[in-house]
Amino acid sequence: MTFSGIVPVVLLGVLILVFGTRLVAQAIVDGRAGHATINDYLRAGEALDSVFIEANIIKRILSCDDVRFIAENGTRDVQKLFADERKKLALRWVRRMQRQVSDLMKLHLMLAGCTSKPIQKFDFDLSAKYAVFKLISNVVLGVIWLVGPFRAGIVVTYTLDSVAYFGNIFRLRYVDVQGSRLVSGQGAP
Amino acid sequence: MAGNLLWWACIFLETAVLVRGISSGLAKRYRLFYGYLIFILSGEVIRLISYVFAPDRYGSLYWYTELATVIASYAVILEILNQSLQSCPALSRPLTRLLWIIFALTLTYVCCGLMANGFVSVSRVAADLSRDLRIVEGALLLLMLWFFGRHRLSLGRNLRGITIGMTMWVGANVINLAFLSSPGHEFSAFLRELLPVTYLTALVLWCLSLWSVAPISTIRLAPEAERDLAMVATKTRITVTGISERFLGVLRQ
Repeated sequence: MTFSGIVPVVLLGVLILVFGTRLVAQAIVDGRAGHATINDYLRAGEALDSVFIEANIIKRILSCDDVRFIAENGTRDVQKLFADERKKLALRWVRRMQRQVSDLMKLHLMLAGCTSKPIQKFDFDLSAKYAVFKLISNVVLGVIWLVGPFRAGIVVTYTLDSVAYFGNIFRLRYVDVQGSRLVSGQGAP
Repeated sequence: MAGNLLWWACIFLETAVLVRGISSGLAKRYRLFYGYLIFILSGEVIRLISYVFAPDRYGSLYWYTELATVIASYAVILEILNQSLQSCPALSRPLTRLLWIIFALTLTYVCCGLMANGFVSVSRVAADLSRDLRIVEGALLLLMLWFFGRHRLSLGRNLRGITIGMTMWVGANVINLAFLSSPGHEFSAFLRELLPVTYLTALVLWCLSLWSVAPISTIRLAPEAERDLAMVATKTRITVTGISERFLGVLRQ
């Protein structure tokens, strides 16, 4: 076997060991946390509720009215401080939204393992869309970081709209999945 | 001396896992895995007999038994897949089908390899085929591990032990087989020394995890919930698609 042939095989072996270690870590985490089912839904619901509420607050915080007011009445230092604070806030909010969408994906994938209908095609499709979402949300982060939330007004407006939309959809999902129908069971030995 | 000690330790642990599996009833639940262990144990005994009574034939015999063991280890992969996805028929069916297709292709490849080499040096052919089969098996195992992690499947103590032990053994084997073709390399020698220790560790792990029967811990859903979950899946798709499209729209502007 040539050197170029050895490298992918070694990489494969290393990856197997890494994924094996991940399985051990996952077992430890699951062992500590238990196999939450209804709790997962409750947590996801609460997180999304907060996103939904925050979306409206953030809309107000990042509105151009405040910028205009500060521009007309504030000194240069105040304007700078205001812009920095709002930028930090916007960045933190986008990051938090990314985390919550990621939680939704985790929850979905957990549930996907328990459905009876074939979902493989959908699953791959969803994963691809999620990857695109991650990429673009990172671009949004970059845009806000570079030009600030007010200059990136369109971006921020669309982001806010997306989050409101996301909150609504997931709220529906949360209502549809009734906790009483989910049971955590153990198989026969 | 140390090598012989490891050899005997492995035989002892294999026997212990087998005896314990039969007495606890786990052998019935994981038939393929215990069948694989019986196969390995038989191979070990045959090698030991050959080592003592016919050492000149040991080299070729090693590779025959190794090839047979690698083929048999595919059964363990199938066992892990079937057992882990017992409560998920939607995932189990296509993945089992995929595994069978890959296994059939690999066997065809093995047969073609044997015929192409004309049985000139069977031990050499067996060694090459063992390596290729192990690589395919490793790729399959990697796919399964990724899948388990992605869906956070709960395997239960027994099956988790089997899977982790198998992962250690196959992972170390794949790395070792990659370096086997460059025997002069120091790292290659080190890996060859390390391999029996890895197998012994895997056996200890199997022994501990399969000592008693543990429940198959899985998240199960009441049948009525499945209908809703299909709806949930559709909504998740709408959500992520909607968000992606909006962000894409932003990027276009």
